[in-house]
Amino acid sequence: MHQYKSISLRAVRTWALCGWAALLGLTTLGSTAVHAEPQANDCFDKAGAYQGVNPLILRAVAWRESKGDATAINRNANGSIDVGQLQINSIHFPELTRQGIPHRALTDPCVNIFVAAWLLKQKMVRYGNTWRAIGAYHSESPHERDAYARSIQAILVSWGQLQPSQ
Amino acid sequence: MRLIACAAAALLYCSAASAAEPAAGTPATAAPSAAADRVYPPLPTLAMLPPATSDDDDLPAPHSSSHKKKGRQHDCRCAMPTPRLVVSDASRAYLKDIERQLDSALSQ
Repeated sequence: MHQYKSISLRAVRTWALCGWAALLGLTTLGSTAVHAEPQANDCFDKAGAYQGVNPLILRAVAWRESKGDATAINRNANGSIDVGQLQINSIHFPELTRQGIPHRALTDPCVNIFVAAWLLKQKMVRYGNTWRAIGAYHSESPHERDAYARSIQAILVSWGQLQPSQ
Repeated sequence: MRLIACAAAALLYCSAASAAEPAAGTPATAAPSAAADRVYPPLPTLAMLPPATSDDDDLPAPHSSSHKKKGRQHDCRCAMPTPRLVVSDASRAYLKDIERQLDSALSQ
């Protein structure tokens, strides 16, 4: 019984997602997955606005994680994999599936960015609007977390978005 | 596969205000419309669609009789965008390749 409920709920979510596409796609002129890169740039702004996360941070994370390679798939030493330009870790796959997002959807550049914004926002709610939150996107371990936050700082400095002294 | 295409299309066209640029030294700034203490679902839901406006296409007039008059027929070609193939053989092959890579990575 519970299984039936779970399946039907998943189906409803899937169709809700498709409904979004259908309704909003009325104005579409069309695009293919192959040519999704220009739209992916807009997705940083859209995902940032949606979750209330700075899109520049998302761009810097994408650069840090994969140099902006939307097709990046990497395997970690602990057996997990990281997918897409923001390298979403497979540890999040079960929760994403519950949210109606199969892991294959992470290969879509825009979905990948929105999921990253979702993960970063979770850290921001927990740690506030801080570098700690940004570092925790990568790791909760203090050493790795702080190193990661510094690397994001360095990227923003190199882009002229942050003063070197800060 | 259809879900991926649907999700991608939904995201590409979801409404969003432009986010505020950060002040110097500020690691992350919240957009005015998003609550700072709230995590929203990973992808926008149907409920987040903007409300319908008067600019939307007119609904078809109800039929008053079973006889249709040719003069009332709406010519859709005037304002509609030209339909274009969204999914191509190239995009299918691309996604197939990505799927293969994911399966391979997960199976190792």
